[in-house]
Amino acid sequence: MRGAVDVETLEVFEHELAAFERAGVADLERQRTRNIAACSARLAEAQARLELISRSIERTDADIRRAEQDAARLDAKLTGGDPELHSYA
Amino acid sequence: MPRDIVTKPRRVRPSVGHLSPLAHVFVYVLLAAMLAVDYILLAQALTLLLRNDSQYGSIGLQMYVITLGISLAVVSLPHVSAILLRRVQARVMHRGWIPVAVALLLLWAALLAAITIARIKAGMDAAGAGGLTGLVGGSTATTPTFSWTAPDTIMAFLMLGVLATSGTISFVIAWLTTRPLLVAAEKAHAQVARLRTHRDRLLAEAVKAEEAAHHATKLDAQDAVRYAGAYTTFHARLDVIRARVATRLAQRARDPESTSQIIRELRARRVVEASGPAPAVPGFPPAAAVESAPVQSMPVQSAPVESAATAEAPVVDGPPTTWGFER
Repeated sequence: MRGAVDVETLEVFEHELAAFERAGVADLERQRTRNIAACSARLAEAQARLELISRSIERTDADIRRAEQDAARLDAKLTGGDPELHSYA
Repeated sequence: MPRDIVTKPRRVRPSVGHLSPLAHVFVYVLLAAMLAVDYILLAQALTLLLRNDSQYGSIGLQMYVITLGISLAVVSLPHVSAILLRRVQARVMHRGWIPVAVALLLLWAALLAAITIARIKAGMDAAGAGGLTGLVGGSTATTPTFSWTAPDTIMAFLMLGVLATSGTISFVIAWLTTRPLLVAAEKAHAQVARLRTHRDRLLAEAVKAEEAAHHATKLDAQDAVRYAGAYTTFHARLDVIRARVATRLAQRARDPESTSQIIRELRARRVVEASGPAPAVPGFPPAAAVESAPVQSMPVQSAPVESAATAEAPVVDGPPTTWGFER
């Protein structure tokens, strides 16, 4: 029993420890890489949607401005002094 | 699932109070098509009516002008009447214009009736005259009689139906494409309100998307932190395991048998290599550290050493961790 641990066994221990460490580090790196990819994809999607929304908001603002102008024009026509001259129908 | 208003925005009318150019084009195309249909029908009817003159070609230009004028009247009288009624409804024009519109409609009806009667009369005359050929010499004295089932009568009423339909369509078009001013103003305000609601929803979507982006960055940062922690923990645990192996080695080095020789040999080899992934076996720790280290928790990776130690423990009288130098 005293000779159960000899140099070869210890070297085998060291070898297995090194292999285990390498495998663990590689596994961690793989997970990290995958998570980075997923996170960047999610971030890109969110920012594309932000871009889309900002452009849509600009367009809607322009639409609102135009619709307000139309409403003001129609109101002026409706409440204007001479309805005979400004006919819509 | 509610509709996504960002990727599929609701179609909004570009402007209120105006007909779109495409609708204008369609209206005029429809009016022109009805005009063409009326012209063809009336041309045939008038040719039949004036056959005794038109066969010599003497009435050609006059017939064309009359045909065009009647077909224009059939299409445009209901149009004008509808526009008049709309303007009266929108209070743009006085109510006194209503009799004018009604008179225009009555004129239109009278025109259609006159055309139909003339067509029936032409058919009766043609039947009474025996046609253009005059080959039937004996029947020239027959009086023309009206019959509902005569082909010319049926054709006259079919033509009346087509003309009345075209006039009605032009009336409906004029009625649909003109709106009262009050309704237009109300629609404009409703449009503004709807657009504002749409913009508010878009702002809410923007806030949500902002939060999503923030959440994504936060997840990324948290993942990086977790990765760093896992990396550190992993290396720390490996260092612990290596330290335990080294401790075992040190215990073995104290025993009088040849294990110390093994250790020395191993250390010498490692110094020569000096590039292994594992740290070099530290020097022999003091005896107190050596005694206290293996008591805390038994590592799994040093199972053979541990099993050897536990198998040996009942034999010796000391604690199982000090079996190496008790003898």
